Amino acid sequence: MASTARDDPTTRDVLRSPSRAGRPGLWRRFARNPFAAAAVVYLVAIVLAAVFAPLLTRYAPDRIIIGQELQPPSAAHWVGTDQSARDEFSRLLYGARISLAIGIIAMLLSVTFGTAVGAVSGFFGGAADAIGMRLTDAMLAIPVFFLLLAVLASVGSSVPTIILAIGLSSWMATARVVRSEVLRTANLDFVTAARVLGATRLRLLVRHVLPQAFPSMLVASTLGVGQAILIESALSYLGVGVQPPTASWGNMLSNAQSYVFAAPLLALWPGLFILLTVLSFNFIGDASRDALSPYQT
Amino acid sequence: MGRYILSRTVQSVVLLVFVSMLTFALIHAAPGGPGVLLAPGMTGAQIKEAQRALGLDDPIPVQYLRWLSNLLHGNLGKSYGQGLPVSQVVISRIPLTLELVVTGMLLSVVFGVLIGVVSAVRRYSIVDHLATGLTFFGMSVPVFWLGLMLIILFSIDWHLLPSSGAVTLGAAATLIDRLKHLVLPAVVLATANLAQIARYTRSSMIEVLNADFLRVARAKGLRERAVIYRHGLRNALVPVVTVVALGVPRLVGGVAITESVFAWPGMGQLAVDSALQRDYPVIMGITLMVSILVILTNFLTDLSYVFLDPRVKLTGTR
Amino acid sequence: MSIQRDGRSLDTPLDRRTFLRLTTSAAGVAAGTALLAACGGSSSTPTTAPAGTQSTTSTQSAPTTSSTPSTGGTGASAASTPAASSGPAPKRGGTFKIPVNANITPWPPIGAIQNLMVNKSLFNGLVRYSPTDWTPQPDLAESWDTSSDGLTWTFHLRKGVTWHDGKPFTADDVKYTLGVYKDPNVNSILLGNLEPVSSIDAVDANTVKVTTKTPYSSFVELLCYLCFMLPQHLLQGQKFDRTTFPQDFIQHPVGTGPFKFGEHVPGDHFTVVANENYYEGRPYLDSVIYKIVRDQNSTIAQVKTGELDIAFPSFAQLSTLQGTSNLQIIERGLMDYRFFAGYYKNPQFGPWFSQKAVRQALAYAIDVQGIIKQVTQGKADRSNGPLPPALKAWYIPDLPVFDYDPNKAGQMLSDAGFKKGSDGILAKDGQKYQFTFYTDQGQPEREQTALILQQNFKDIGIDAKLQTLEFNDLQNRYRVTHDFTAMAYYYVTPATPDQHSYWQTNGSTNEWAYSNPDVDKLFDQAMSTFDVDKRKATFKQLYTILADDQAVNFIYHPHELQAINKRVQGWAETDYRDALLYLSKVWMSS
Repeated sequence: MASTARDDPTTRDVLRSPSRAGRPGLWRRFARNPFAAAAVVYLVAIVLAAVFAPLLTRYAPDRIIIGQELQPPSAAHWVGTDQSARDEFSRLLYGARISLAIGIIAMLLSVTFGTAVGAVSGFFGGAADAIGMRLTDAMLAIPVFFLLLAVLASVGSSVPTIILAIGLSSWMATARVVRSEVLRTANLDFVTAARVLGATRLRLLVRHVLPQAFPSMLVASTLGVGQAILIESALSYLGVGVQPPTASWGNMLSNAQSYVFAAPLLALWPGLFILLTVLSFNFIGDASRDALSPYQT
Repeated sequence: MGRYILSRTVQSVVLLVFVSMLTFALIHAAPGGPGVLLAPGMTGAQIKEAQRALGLDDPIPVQYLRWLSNLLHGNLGKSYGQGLPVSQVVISRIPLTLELVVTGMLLSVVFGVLIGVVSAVRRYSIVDHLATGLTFFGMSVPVFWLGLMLIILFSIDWHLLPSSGAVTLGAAATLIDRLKHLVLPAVVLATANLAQIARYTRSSMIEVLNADFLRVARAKGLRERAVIYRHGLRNALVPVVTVVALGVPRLVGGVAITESVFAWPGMGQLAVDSALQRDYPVIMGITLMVSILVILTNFLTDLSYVFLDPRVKLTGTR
Repeated sequence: MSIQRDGRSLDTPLDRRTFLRLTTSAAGVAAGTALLAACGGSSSTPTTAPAGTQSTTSTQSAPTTSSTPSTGGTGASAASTPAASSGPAPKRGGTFKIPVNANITPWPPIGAIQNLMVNKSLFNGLVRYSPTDWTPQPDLAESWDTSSDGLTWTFHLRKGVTWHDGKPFTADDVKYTLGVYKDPNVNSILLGNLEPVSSIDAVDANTVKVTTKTPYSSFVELLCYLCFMLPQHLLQGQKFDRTTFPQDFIQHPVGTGPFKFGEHVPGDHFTVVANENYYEGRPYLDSVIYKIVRDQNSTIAQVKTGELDIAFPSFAQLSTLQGTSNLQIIERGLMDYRFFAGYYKNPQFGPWFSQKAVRQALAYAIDVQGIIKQVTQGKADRSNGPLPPALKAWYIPDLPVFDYDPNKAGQMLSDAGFKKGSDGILAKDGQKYQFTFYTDQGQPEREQTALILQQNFKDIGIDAKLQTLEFNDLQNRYRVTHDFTAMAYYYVTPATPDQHSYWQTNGSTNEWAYSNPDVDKLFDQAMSTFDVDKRKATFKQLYTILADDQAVNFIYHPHELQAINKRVQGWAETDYRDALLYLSKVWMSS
């Protein structure tokens, strides 16, 4: 294959200072970005609300209150009821659990897998590299969304299958980034020094090389959470997302489309939460990249 | 060069076998079986007989090898639901999908690079903040929701653009009519990709603008505009090309949603239909054709590095 | 033998995700109460019309060429065709645009809703359902009669009917067609219905004789159901199976119907154009376009803007149609019932569900009126058996009813030996009354029903968990492997009281494994009874047993909603699938 700039360690390391992680002032640089700071506050609030959902609402998310469908917001139902006469606020809270769980667990899965493939490929080279990168290429060549659709339509969509499917189909970018970081780092002076001093390969990888790749992983993973949440909503639209009666923001938004004229607010809330949440993860990812990048001033 | 192409071709074939094996195994392992065989009006015994007649009770590896051997004879099989050859069913949908994807790609590359460069050059200006806001919105909004909002605004409320289909039914075909139908789906399809490209272009451009060789160029007294466009942009575009290439599968995946929202009769809808109906031969046919498309794009992308970055040389192996 | 069941329910067009499914299919057979739900545009709508009349519609007098069928000893009576009402004279011209939800393959043996919607304009059957009640009406057969032993049916074909390619339609075509549907290799949707048929003979060019192995009093009622005639001269000698169709034919179908094949753009639309030589005379419309629209919201949007002339909203979508002055909202009865049923042979649930007292207790526990109110906005009838009120000729009004009474339900379960534990869950012999039941994914109506059932059961101490299964998975479990505890599901059936295949012990569609010797005997008796009154008496006895037994817990019969543009005239007053049999009468006012 082509020896390309994206993989070529020599093209980039001259552009960067040897040590980026752990420099002082990182958090300050991050927090200076008002959007990212707001995003962190928002996400903490949402996560807390999701975790403590049972304390915040007295309605079970599935409870149908006969005859009370599509009610406007009221004291009893803070954001009204949905088309099936269930408390919308409760569903938003419980939906947050599902959507965030999908986003976070799928991301963890994809980052773990991607890092493993990338690190092994970059560090050990040779056959390991060939296999790892061919696997990555293969996954990148599959129209992943079609595959997700076909598989979930066949296997059936449940929260675990969706998490697995998203996680195992979105690790390729991480693998590539980690691999190139590893390639870059492996030639840095201090790593060379450690090698000369007799560090084992595994120790080199875990102690010296991977920490260097950490910033890239961090960026990839924050962005990954948002992507996973978006993918779930798209799958919901096609009918293979989280299946009702379980609420997710994705299926709530998708269902609300039917009532966009009769009850526009129904589409507003889940849409807004998806947008804000994904936006927050993107802001944070971007701000971390900026904060970690040496040339930002 | 010849050797390189040969080696890439061999790799691509291996890749295709892998992809098809994976897809085949996953869909055939699922419980239930093809929807058309479960048609209403059929008894359990009839369903079993139909599954047997299609060889669906054979072990999956046997079924896969049968599929592969048919493929080698140029036979992709027949759609369970439509009774027509898969090649005919799929190929008839390609032109419309290509129309959409190519337009979407053009929109996202042209505007993505433009926005990215302007943001980078005028970093922290109003334009940059505006562009940043827009690109973040583009990356964070659920595609189908965006599509429906645009339909409500442009089709239902303002009556400016049609909400569905590729042409007006029953009307004479005109270029204007086609373009009008193309606008909303292409914009929706391009949005996320455009945002991605703009972000990457911006950061890549910023990095390059700070690079030593541009400092050298500046030091030599070149005008800033020349520095940016003659030296900066070309270097900044190298990673952008990667993002564009990586965007192809995403764009192709995106057509499933976009085509569903806008009733665009292309391959995306066919994919959704065949997945939900479990029309196995069609799913396999689409997977294969789209994979070929993506592999070709990757190949062209790698070739393009040669022209964009003189340091890159093609070799037989990476 | 079996009666064919229909596929997806009539609530299917209501939901986007269902629209995305090609598997969606079904056929309706229903006619019924024509209630006018003057909902959208109520301000400007005409509206409350007596049942059976559609106020804006000036109905055309029906088949001018038909002679009254001689009904022999059958229960089939010719209904009077709708009287011509006064109104503007029909006008020729125009295009009628109908949404379908998936790709079209015009090959009658495979069924599927989108296909049969098109088939109804291209093809004819020997008989068809009346547009006002359920009775079989002449179509390509002018009349029919039965031998005194009930084993031989003679159909007298209409003369002078031609295929779209000009060739004459003859008895040989009928013999050929029934042979195709009966061929096990073709595996057609009508295989079960034709199972009792032992031979088909063309007596002369216009007479067909069908012999059955056993008396089959519902034969003609079932022949109305999707049994479209195929042209022998174009198909003979070709081999078909479940996925092998005649490729030239499906790309250029030829029938005898009011419309001929026009154009097909796969995934987009299917156009049929007026057949100048149709036996009832040229249809008023120039063409009908079946437009593929997967998104249910789009169909509503498009019927509002006039891009479609009709759409089939869900109950929940009624509100979105408010204030649409160009539309009329119509409500029709259907042959459709919703139920909760356990698998009698399931090792866990079966032992409970096999006890009549437990089934009756469950019936008392279900808040049927609440479900009807919540799930269908009141647009449904309470169900006490498979036959809805809309099946006017056969409906049995005074069946045993189990009105919502949770206390009584609790008492009955307590009498049956179930005792509440400390967690509030009933238990007997150390086993808690806990189980998981299923319904299919992407069906808001069934899902809501199931959720309310779950709450109702919980109220009396039964811990029922709901799991929604992917459609194909559920179908396979339900019909092939019988790997299920219980289901909240539905059936759409042909318009006949003869539902033996669902309820007889060895019935081919008795998926829940219900068995009752009295029921078995009564169905056999009904099948060999040709006198209408005697048949009615037998069915009354039969369905009383079924209702009292709560063979399954019957819940409701949903109605169908149609949102139709007011310029459409002559649209038959029945559910849309059967209205499509009378497309030749539809015309557009300006």
